[in-house]
Amino acid sequence: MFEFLFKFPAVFYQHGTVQLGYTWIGYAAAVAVALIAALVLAGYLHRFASLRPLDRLALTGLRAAWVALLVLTLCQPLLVVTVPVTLRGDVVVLLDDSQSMRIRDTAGEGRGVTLQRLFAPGSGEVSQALAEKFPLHHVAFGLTAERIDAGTELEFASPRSDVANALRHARTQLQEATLVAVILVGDGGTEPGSALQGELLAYRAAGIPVHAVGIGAARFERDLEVTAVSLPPRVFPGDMLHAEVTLRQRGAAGRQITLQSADEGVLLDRQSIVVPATDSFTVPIVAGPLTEPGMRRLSFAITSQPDEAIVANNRLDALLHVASDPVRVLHFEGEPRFEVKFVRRALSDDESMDLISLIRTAENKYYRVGIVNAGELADGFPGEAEALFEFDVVVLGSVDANLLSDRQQLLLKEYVARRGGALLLLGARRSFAEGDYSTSGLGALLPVRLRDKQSEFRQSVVVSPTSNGLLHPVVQALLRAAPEDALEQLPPLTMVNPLHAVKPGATVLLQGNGGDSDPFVVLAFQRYGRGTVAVLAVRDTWRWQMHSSIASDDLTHETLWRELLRWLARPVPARIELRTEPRRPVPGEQVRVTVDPVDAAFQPLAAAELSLVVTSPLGHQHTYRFNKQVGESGLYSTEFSVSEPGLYELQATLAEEPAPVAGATAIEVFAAGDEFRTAELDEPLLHHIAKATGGRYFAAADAAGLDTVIEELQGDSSSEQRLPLHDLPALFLVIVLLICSEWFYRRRRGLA
Amino acid sequence: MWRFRRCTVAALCAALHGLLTPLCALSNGGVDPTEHEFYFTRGIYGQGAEDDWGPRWAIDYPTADQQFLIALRRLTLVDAFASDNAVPIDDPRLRDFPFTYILEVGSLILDDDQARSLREYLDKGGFLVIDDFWGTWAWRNLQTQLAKVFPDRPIVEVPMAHPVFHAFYDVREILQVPNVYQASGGRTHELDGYNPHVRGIFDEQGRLMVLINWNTDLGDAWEWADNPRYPLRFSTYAYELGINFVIYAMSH
Repeated sequence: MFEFLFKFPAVFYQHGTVQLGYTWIGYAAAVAVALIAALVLAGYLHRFASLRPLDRLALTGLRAAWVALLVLTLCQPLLVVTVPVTLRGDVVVLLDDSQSMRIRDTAGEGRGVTLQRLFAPGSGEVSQALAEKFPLHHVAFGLTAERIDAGTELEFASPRSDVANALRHARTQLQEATLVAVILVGDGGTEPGSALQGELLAYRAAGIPVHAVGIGAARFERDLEVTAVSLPPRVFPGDMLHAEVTLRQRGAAGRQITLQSADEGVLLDRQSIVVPATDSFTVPIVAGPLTEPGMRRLSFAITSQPDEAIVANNRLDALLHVASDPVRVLHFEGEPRFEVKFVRRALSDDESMDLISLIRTAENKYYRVGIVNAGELADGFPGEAEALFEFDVVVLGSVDANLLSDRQQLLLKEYVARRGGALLLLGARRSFAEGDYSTSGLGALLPVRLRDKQSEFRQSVVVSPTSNGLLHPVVQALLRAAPEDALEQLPPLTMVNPLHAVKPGATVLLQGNGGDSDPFVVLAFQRYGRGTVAVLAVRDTWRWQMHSSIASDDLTHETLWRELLRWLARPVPARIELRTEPRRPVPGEQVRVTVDPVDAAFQPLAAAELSLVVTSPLGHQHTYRFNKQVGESGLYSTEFSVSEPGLYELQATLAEEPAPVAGATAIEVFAAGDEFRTAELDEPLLHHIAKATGGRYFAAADAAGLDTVIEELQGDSSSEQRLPLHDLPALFLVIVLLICSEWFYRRRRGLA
Repeated sequence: MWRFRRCTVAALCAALHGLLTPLCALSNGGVDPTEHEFYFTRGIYGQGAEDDWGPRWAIDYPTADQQFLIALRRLTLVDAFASDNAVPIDDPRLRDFPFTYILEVGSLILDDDQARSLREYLDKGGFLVIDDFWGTWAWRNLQTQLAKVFPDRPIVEVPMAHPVFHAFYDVREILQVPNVYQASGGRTHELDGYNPHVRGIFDEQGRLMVLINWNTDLGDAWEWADNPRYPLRFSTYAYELGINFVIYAMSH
């Protein structure tokens, strides 16, 4: 009866407090109603002024009482009680269904077996304990996430485990309001990228802890793995392959293994390696040359050991773009020099080099060699971005800075910094300080420090590599070509620019020794903006070709120029560069292709017409249209899905007059993804996931206590309940009773 | 009679000059090859073979060389050594100078070492200009000698469209440049060298490595360019062609 009249148990009223819950609008309304009530009462008293005082008191009291109660209801009376919360919300168990669960590294038991033993829906030891206390849902996740029921067999066949997607699935597919905890069961093999971090933040904000249970060994007893391969962004036909292969070892120190490198299955290099004691080590590879243009599939494999945890990670494939378009090089000389002739000779056999020589032969006369049409560079060095930026490498010989206008100097700066081009400056009587570079804007580009002008300086130097140079591909190639593998055996070269020091961040590769001074800087470089600036500060490299001590078949000079210009050109970006995500897609996955095309002056294109042609491994072609990305100026993207393993070739085409511009890349789709790479249990990542969301990390052996922990975490919580009282039946009855009493009293007194 | 006397005096002077200047060149220890970009290098050959004019290699030497260098330095931006530079063709020092000029090759006799040395020089990027030899007999001798150097490479006519004729000046025709004694009128040829030719030997890449001026004498046109009696037409042409040779040799 009490609860019928007062809505809530009496204990609520014993421990709770009554408050008015009005807002300021409600408060204002209540005041207004009170004022109206006061006016009504005043009028009421005035109207019955002829009655006896007792009657007037009784009638006024009755009306004042029900009006007061009515005002009270308008003030939203509340009963505030604090109660402990013991909600029985849902718990979701996310089970890793990827291929890495097939690894047998947990005391002779496969990871998948452990996972099933503990968390199989309906039968798992921990799942059963959890199901007794919470509504429990199981979700199997790999590339996708799917709810599973008791009796469902996990196949552990997914080529990728996407934890972020699984967490999103649990949060959005189930009622977030009823979700009290998520249990993530797996080996932590996932991309710890922005998607995962965003999901963890969402869980943190919703107050839902994610508990992580690690399955697998945190460190294999014995395993060898090809972890990564570092390749140049592109190479040119005839280039040697310079790669760095990173290997990881567990329990294999001291063993002798063989590392094989192959190009489309054809052996490039074979090295015998004694595994060092360090966990991770790098092996440099110089092999080749790579002759065929196009996208090449290179493989790097180590011999498997009989007792290895995983054999599948002993090989890593990587794609390398052997460019088919030649490198465009502009060599500008402010005066005729034999360097022009001999640079041209050095590159004459190289079909990957498209060299134009521009020589100022008289005050206003230029001689052009290697041009395609008569109008090309007819006015000398380019004065417009479109003309200059088409070159990958610009070589400045004996060019006085004053020979270039302010605009041309600014263009050269932009050519390097914004376009990402490579600039090479040669030693000559009108170069560096002797060409007034120190007082021009070009001085800032140089990797070397310039001293005062010394027009009469001349010094023969013997060239030798620096310690940095010995590790550099250009110098390494030079040493291989030089007589007796030593540059010191080569004839001395002439320096007419005394350069001794480089700027911070610059690297010296070759130095020159001669005279009594410190070594001279012969070859040095630095990054400048997106591009590279290098100096080759000797005047007559042609002596390495012509000198009487140089044998007829010696290729040192050719190697110097060929390797130097190729190295400079490799990182130079094209007008269309394609980027793809994810890095190693698997069948069934969406691949996102992004480009930021530029015009001939390398300015972003605000409205570009771009298409993408995708050629599948079976030769099927599909065309997609790029869409401009909202909020990203000049960025365009499109997506397509990959369905089968193999090489997908991508070609983006920018519709432009007079001819379209194209950019190409390729992706390889792997059936097994990266599931067997870096496959040890990633405890740090699982710890991070748990900590970031307020959950806890459990080793598989400790997972039995999960239900208790979830309960404990919930038991600490309590809730303040604000219960409305304006609709109490008791209050309604009292008001009705007071109104009826007033009516009855007035009727008895014969009032209207 | 006057003409006879003039020729006799000139011949005597030339003979004296021809005897003395080669001796000076041979005794010269050589120039510093790193001081300038370009050295007009005259190739010394057949040091025992002399006639009344001195050694055949030294005809017009050094005046022709020096006169040519004056024009080269004046008209172009080439950083050229201002004086003559004679080097034996089998001297290792020749490799310091990628441009070599030889003439009067009718008497050129190359032994095996010289032929091999010259071939290496040219294969490595050296450029050889041959000038001032006339007639069938001299041509046949040159053919024989060059066959020792390049038994596998033919001597071919250089077409007028070739860049060597347009590197600095646009040369549109081949003139027969006479020696100073025949420049004042009448015939311009010597012996049976009636028609001038510019021929060459190209390497496998199609680069011109040997340039042969046959039945013409650029050297005399350079040497006597300051002689009012020597026709301007010939000296102008000789300078234009010579400068083109240098610019081409430095850029191809």
